[in-house]
Amino acid sequence: MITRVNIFLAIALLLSCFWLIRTSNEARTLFGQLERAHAQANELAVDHDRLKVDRRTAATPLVVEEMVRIRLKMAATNPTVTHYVSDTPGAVQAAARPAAPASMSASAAGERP
Amino acid sequence: MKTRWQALVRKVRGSRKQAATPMPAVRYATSPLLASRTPTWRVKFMVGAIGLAFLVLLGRAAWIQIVHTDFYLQQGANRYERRIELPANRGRILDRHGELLASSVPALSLWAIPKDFEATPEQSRRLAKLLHMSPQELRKRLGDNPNFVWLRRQLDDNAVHQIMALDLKGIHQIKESRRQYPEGEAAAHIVGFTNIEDKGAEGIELAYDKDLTGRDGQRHVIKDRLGRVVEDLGDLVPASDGREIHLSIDAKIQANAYQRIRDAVALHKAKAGSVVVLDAQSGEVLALANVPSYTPGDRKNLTGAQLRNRALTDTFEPGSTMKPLIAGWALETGRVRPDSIIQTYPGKLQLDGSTISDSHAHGDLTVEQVIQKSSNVGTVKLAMQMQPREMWELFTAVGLGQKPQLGFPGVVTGRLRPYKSWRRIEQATMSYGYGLSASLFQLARAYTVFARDGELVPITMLRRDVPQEAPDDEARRLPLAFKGAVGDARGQPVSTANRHEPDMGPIKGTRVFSPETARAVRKMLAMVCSADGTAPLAQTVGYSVGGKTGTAHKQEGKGYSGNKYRSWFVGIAPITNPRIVVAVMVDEPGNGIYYGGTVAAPVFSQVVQQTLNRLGVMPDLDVQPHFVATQGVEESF
Repeated sequence: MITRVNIFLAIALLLSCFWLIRTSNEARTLFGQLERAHAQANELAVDHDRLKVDRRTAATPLVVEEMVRIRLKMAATNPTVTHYVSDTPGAVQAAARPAAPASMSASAAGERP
Repeated sequence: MKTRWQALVRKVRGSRKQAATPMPAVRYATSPLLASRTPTWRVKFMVGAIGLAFLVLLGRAAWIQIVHTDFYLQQGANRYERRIELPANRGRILDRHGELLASSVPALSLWAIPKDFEATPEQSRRLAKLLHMSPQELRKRLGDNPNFVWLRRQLDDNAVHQIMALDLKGIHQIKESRRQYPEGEAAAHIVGFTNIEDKGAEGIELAYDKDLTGRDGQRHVIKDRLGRVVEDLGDLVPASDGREIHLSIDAKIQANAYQRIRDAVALHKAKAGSVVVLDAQSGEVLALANVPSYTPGDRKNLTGAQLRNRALTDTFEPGSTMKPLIAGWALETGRVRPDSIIQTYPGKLQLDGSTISDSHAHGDLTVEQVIQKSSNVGTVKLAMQMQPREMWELFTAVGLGQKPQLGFPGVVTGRLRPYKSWRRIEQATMSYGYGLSASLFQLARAYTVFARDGELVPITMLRRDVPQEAPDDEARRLPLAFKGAVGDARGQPVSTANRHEPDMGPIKGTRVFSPETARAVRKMLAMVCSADGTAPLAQTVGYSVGGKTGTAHKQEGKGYSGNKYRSWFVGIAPITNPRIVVAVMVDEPGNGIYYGGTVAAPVFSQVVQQTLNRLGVMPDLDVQPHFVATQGVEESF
């Protein structure tokens, strides 16, 4: 009887050891995957930051102004080509003096809310 | 004892002789050697010695495994545990709308172990070319230290990959951080730059270096033989990134101001120029630009002239821009009224043997006209009614002779001597801006007393309110990171100068003049910009403006240069309901035109036009609508 119990316990111990090895291996594999995912997330975050800087560098006010003035032949706005309206709900008012014609506002480069 | 031993030896020899004969069976049990009786003391001695040795071993084992465990545990850990540095990012610098002004991106640096370096002549040539240096330079650098040399730091990724593709022995790469400045030269003097070690060297980068610098973290892990992290030991100190700085600068206003002063410097063949734009309501600096400038990311061949933040560090005699202060104080103290008549004929005034003169004779002028025509004689007559102490206190009250509290590197105090040492002629010349000095920034700030109905506003380069881009509402409720603020992305409250509680209402200033006096002086400043004033070119479309021109001979040694001038204009817009103060200075205009009204005032006009438009300020003047034709209508016939 004791021998059988010992054999049973030995087998249980053996299985438990195999299970432990398997679990450890799985944990380590998952940890590796998690590490790689973290590293990838960091790289993507870095790329995101780099792209934001590149985008900003490519679209600074100096660059944009040069482009619109020289290539697109646009001009800066001023009050003579701007139709001012109030942003108060229900109280649309032409605030420019004198009120600019409606036809002007759409065509003017200086349209502004 | 001896006889027993000899008997024993004889027996052994006898047994050897027997061994020469055919080998009999060995009978150990009856071996005389074993049969001899061992003395008891020897047995006890041996047992005691062996027992003692075991005790020593047990003691040592206990010492190692129970008492003194740390050392060996540490030695074991050293062989499989690793501490990984988690580098912190330097904080970003943003403009008032959250646009990037400075940000860090990773960059690779190359280093070498010269004693391991092996390359063919052709490979060396290619390497030198990719490193942007001559083969001789490369050779010299590799000869500096046999164990370690930097080849090039913070290179472009492409160049690094090309170099690594050469597969040269002894060359290694390391990841570092490089600062990038998208606005380039337009905001260079404000943002500044960092050195190669990522420490602030100029501008905001230097002024807020402690806030911008993060704190590196650390991670405790187990690595396998391939260097892969296989287990986290949980002892994590997270990296703490540097805080973000939200400047009060508006990138678009800044770029526009830079462009305008750059164009003016080129047009007038001037040596340099500066512009300062202040928000008169909040005291925030909206723009501060200097020419010549530099690209912060490319500082090769950088000169001192490019590096100088002239608006803050250069002082000059402010000339006629002081006159409105004198007129204002004369009004404030009831000595004159705006329409009081001042006799300026014949345009010259003798004082203690010196002659003070106007550019031409004006005759009788009202106080308003004294400012409008910029009469030195009229201003001196107003000033000489005052005590020197009054003038000194007035100048001090508007910030002259004091360092602006900006926390910005290189800000100067200017010169304002104690009134007790003034002579009469010095009091007279100081009334029209000679004999004292101030920076352009100080002048701009001084004019906020007129823009804010007599109050001098505290100035800041940081946003005063909560950034709209703050990620959560809680951050907005925190008393801090509001603008100004130096705060991290989560709006953590941190200590900072220039802090302003959002619920404090309008920014409080220091009263210098009464509102009535400030309004009266504003009217005078508006007259300066009228057709009859000295600066009609300061006018804008749709917005009323007011200001004061200044033109002065430059100081050279102890005297004044005959043909070198400095021109400037300090003004307010809209003059009916002031929103901004703009100061412009052009140094040494070189094509024969040098008056502030013709050199600096047009720059003021352009900057005001775009700045008010950008701020969404409604025009306060009638304008003639201007039609922009897009497509003609076909005529009927």
